[in-house]
Amino acid sequence: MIACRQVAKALANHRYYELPWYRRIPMFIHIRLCVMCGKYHQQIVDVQRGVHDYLEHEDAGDIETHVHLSDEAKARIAEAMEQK
Amino acid sequence: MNDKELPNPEEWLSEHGDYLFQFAFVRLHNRAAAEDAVQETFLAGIKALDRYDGKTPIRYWLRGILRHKVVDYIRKASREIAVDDTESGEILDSFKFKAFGIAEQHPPDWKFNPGHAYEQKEFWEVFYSCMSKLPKATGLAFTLRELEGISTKDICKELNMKPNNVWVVLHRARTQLKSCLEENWTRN
Repeated sequence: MIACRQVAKALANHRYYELPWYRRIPMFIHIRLCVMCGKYHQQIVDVQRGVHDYLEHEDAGDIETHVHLSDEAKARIAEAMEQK
Repeated sequence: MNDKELPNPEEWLSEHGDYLFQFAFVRLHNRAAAEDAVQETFLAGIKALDRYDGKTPIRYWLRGILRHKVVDYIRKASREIAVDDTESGEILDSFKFKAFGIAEQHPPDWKFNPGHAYEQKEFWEVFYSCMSKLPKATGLAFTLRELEGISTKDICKELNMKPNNVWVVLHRARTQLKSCLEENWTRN
């Protein structure tokens, strides 16, 4: 049985599904049996899912932020495009 | 493009400028660099306009050019910035271990429910803001891996790092992102 420390380090260093099967099986068993490692794994998965969902929203163009090109930047870009 | 009209570059700035800037800013963590990347994208787009086939919406075609500009910038920036990839025990900071590497206490709970938050439109603005705030060196590695899907092997080449160190930096980025979300998303 692998220890929690090994599980935490492996999860930090690799994506679970990218691990070779001979490392994934003992990890899978440990994560299922150990509440603490299961929770830690879930938190990493949640962040990765967040990034994945973010990219889908970004692709659809429905991320609304307050980040915009400044007027100065717009003027500079417009000038550069005119000269092209 | 045969019988279709070429898109008008004069409209690009007003129609796609902010979208492309947001796209670049969250990846480069630097306003000036993101502005330059957008400008270079438009100029490259004008130059390559005769190769635009009209099948892809112009916004996505420009975004494709911008992706290359972003990676080029990161490649250049990596020579100037030092990525702190020392492990220093922080990778395991969510855990306390007792003898034989057995965990002693639970990692702290999320202060919100990610499943609910991901359903809410306003959450993504916070998510965007948190990703933009990642420290530059950490953020650039995060951009390459998580946003651009570049393999660890290629990131090692681009950032001149060892694979394990890349994962240390990525883990740090995820931890910082999680902390920022917990701090800034107070709804449940």
